[in-house]
Amino acid sequence: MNVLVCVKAVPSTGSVQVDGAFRLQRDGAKLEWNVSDLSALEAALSLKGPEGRVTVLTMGPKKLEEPLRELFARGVDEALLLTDPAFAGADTFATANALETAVKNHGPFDLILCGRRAIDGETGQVPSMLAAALALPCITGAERITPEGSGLLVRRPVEEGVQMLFVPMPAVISLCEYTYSLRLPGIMGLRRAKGKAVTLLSPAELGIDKENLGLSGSLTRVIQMDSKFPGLRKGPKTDSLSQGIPAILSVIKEAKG
Amino acid sequence: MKTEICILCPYGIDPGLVSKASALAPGTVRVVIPPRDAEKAARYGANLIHTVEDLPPDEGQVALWLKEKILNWGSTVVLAPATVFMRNVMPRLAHHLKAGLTADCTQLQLEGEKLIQTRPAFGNSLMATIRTCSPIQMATVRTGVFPPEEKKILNPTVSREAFHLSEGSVTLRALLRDTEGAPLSQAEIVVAGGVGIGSREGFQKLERLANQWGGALAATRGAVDAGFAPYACQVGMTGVTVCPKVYLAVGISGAVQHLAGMSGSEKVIAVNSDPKAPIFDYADLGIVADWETVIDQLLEE
Amino acid sequence: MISQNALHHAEKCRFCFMCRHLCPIQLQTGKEINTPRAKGLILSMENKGTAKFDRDMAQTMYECLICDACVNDCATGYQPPLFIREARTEAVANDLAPESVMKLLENVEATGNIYGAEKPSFAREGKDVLVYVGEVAACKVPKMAESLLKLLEQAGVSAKVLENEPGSGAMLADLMGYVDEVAQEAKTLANAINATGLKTVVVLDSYDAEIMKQRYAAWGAEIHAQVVTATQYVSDLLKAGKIAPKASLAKKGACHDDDRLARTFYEFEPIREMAKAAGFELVEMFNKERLAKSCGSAVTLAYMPNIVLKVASGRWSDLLRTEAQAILTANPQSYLCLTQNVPEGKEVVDLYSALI
Repeated sequence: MNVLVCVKAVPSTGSVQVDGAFRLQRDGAKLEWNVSDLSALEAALSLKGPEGRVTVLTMGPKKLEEPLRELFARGVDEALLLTDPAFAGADTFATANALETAVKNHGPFDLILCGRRAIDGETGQVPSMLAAALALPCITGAERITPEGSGLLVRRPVEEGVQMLFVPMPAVISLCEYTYSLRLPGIMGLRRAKGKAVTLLSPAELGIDKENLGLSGSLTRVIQMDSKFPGLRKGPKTDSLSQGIPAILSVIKEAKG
Repeated sequence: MKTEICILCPYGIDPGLVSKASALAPGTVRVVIPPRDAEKAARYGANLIHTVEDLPPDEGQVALWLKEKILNWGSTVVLAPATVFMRNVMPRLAHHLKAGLTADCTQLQLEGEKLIQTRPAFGNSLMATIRTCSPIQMATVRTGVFPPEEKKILNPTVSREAFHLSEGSVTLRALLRDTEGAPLSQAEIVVAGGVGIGSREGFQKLERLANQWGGALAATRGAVDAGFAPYACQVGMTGVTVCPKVYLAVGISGAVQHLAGMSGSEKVIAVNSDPKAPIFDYADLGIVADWETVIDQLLEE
Repeated sequence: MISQNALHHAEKCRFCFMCRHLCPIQLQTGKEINTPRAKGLILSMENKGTAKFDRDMAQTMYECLICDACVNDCATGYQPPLFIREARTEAVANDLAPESVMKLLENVEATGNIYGAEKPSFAREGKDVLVYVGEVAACKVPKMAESLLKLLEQAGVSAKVLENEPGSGAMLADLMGYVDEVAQEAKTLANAINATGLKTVVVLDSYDAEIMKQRYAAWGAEIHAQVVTATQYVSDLLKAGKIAPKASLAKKGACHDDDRLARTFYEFEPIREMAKAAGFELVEMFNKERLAKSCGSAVTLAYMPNIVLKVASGRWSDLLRTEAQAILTANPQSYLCLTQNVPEGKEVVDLYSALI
């Protein structure tokens, strides 16, 4: 199976700091791979089979080359990085367009996997938009994927319960966080990774008009961004259990009415 | 001509969203709903009601069908509740219509014909205000943020629409009903643990306490990453957002990403052996003590 | 190819000097290069391209016991072992690891344990608990394993020990970091444990207990049974009156809190209960419990015996400052290290044997 996994680098939640006015400071935050994208990557690695290939695709700054190389050590065969200032500021529409072009240039793929949503934007729209652009069926928020005949059996939680869906390939599927835990890099994988290079792709190489990319290709504009940080409470603090335990119990009792 | 708002609820109505639309554009609210919801749609302010049934499980086909309808109707503002199904349908529809789509809005305004959308991002810690620059403006709206308000339309236009496209390629094999109890996001009492709990057995202890209080168990990302608690329990930027009456934070230092998911709690109690843990700043009551001693005593009560 | 997260820790550590006074290796060698800060600095330089990760740097990364003393001391929550382990992965992947380390890895490949010898079997059938002996006790301190099993038998506990007990991955993780090969070993052991259907696993070596309790679940190698340290289990048997205490020996002893009990499990009481029940009059060393100084580990003793002998002497010097005649331990790795150079008139006591 030839699988493509779309991944996104997001600010690492552990490195986001609060400033003096208790506002969130994202500048200078480290980047890490979005958690649900890692589920998708592990699903790809475990589904591809001995003859299969896994390609990862991402869009972002050139400094993502090194983190992409880390993924080689976990069994990824090829890594594509869409990098150019023209890609910056893309909304979900422009992002899906850029990814679509890369998929058409480097495909075909039997299966395209994504994470359910990115923790920074939290829209979860790109997988479905990409699928629509490629005219492929799409199942969002999957928990488990099992090969069955020429297609896949997909377990997907919805409001009413859990759906078991069958989808033929090729298809786009987005995965929930933590449903597959990404394998560790292995020594053998690290040795193999040494000889591999990330493929950098620019708009020119993909033959896309810059007008359709990034901010200029976007159909939505963020006009304001406000920080909404939890307020300080600074309630009383005690190290005496004889005071603390009854205090906790009385809050619980009150809550239960 | 007044701006018409078209609300897509082909799988089930969101009355609050219909109310909101009718407040923004009285008299020009179009809805797509299953037949069972027709009466409700009129009660909350819809005057153009389209019913549809027997939708296929392939949400791509539903999007294609809706695209034809929207183009026919000439709708320029298209909204839908952010349910699992519509989160898949709307992006596809947006692609077909070349329309800007904003996800998970919690506030909507109309400025003339322009839709001004507000949505939380990064685990509720940022609020973004967004404008759409395509002719058709689309948004999904977080369910339950707008209260339903009755505003009965006496003689709405009701029409039955037939889904005439092919079934598509996705087939539904089974729908397993959820057997689990009330989800974490709705619990009134939440007992949450951090990496400091140190093991799965520790979390089992917290779960016993949560059960004793009729509440739910929660965990930080660190604890989930370490395998101490299942992901369904994760609160914060990468997990669920909770707003219980009481949030008991046990062995949690109080990292920003976790605070983002629980700051809406009515009362926050923190138990931590480190008196300098940031969580105490965000708590109504702090106990500086070994977590296990505290939990053991609470379990005995 | 150090991960972004590990680099973040290295970048922070390189500026700070606060834990240098408690690195058990640095205390013995006196070398600045043996501090956690130096290791952070090396990785930072390598990342910035001002230095090349070579054999000497790799050597430095192995001059660490991963005893967690620096982690325990760090007021800002940074973790040197995180980047030290990753640097070791890098060293092995690039064939830069010291020869003595590569030899141990070859041994693991050939025999499943670092000693390159067939692991003596303690296999037996039992219905109450599974005892995980571990490779250090089995190969180097068999008496401790025998005593634990005998003690359980006396207490009426029917203990099972696996035939061809798989490794826990703890040794491999110290030699080459948390890599897929370690996770595979973890899965093999977890499957073997789960196949017994027993509800409790009593783990003799706290280093094995650490990786089983703290890491396995995240690697998809979940153990269904409850994992307990043998010290905790035996102390519970003592409390329940299943093991009879010994008469007073009129002898003073000091408990050595091994690295994992001290800084992973914060488990201090059980070994002291065991020591009292064995008839010792307890005294304490100045740095005890969470602050206990490491006496070395079995894997470091195997690849850098000279340094670890000094480290063990460092622990002995702590004991010499007390009135104790004996250092008391229930950990096979500590026992192994401490018995390498016992000062005149002192002894190392294995608490399981002492309770029989």
